[in-house]
Amino acid sequence: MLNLIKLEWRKHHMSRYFNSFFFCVIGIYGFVAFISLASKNDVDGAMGSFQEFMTLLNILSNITFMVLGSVILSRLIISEFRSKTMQVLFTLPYKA
Amino acid sequence: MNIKEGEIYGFLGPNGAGKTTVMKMLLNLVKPTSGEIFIQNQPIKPTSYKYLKNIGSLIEYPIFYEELTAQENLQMHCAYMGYKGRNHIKKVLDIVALQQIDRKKVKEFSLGMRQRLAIGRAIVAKPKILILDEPINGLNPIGIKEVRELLVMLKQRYGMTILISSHIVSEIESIADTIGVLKHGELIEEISMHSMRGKYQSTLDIVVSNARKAKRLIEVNFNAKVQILNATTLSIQQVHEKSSTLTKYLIQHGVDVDAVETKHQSLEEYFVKLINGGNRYA
Repeated sequence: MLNLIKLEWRKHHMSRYFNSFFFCVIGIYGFVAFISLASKNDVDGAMGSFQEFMTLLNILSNITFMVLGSVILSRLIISEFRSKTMQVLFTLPYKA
Repeated sequence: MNIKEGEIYGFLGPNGAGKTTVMKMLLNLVKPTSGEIFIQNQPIKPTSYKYLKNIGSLIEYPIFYEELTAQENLQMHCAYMGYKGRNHIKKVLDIVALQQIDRKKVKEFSLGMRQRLAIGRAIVAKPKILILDEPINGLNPIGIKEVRELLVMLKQRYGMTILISSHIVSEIESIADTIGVLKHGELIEEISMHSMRGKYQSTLDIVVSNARKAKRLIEVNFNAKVQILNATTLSIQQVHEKSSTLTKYLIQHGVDVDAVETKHQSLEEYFVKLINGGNRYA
């Protein structure tokens, strides 16, 4: 099973998603940190507490990674069906 | 339908007869509603998959991973089949005449190149059985000749069993050992090429100086059916004599013989007769 996972990894060049992952993380964290730093000394600052900071971070990362997850899923599975390479995969000696 | 080991089985039939469906059933892509399939003496159940290791196939249209190169496609296939061989892929690409394509992705290939790559993919893992659905579809005449020679070489050198379906009857005629004819999903005839050639007696086409005299002579002396095609050509059916006897007899009785040709009934005529079977349209 591990071999099959490695083969799929090689086939779809999954290592390039690490790049996207890092940039997403840096982007989101940087964005939220920038908001809170910019309004640090205001009376009604955007971030009342650590709680609010974490909430915004949570929402943004949920959105981003949900989209990233669906893109990966679509490339791994749906494209195989769409390009009919799934028929080729079914002729391989693996348990269906 | 019976396919012997190490032979080339030609699968013929009009469009929509079910040739591709039968091939899909052999690969367990489509489950039969009734009946049994045995491959290498093992029954094929809906959950069988291990027997697929010995089968290489090309079904319908050749499908690849478009973003990868030909080499990578073949490497993936070898890895999936569990076949290890470093230089083997290069050899296979040479055999199917696809050498100069190192950096090209499959999405830039023409149909002929894809067809050849698909045949390459079918043979790369050295299978025992090869199932090819119209492999010469889209190839130029040189490609067709190369595929024909490749299949004969595979059968003779590696003893591969090859099931090939095609619409081009003359190609099948030149390489197949056994022919199966499918019509409306039913196998109406399964016959070996050897017995097909023996079943139908040959006709002799003779070019002579005087056709009517020759016809008279032959009908009287040899009791054969003679047909006059034109002023100088005769067609003799149901001939039991050797052509040399006939030629000698004609010359001795004053009829000059210019050419003698023995014609066997071609597979195409046999096939058309079988499929039409009295109907006007196939």
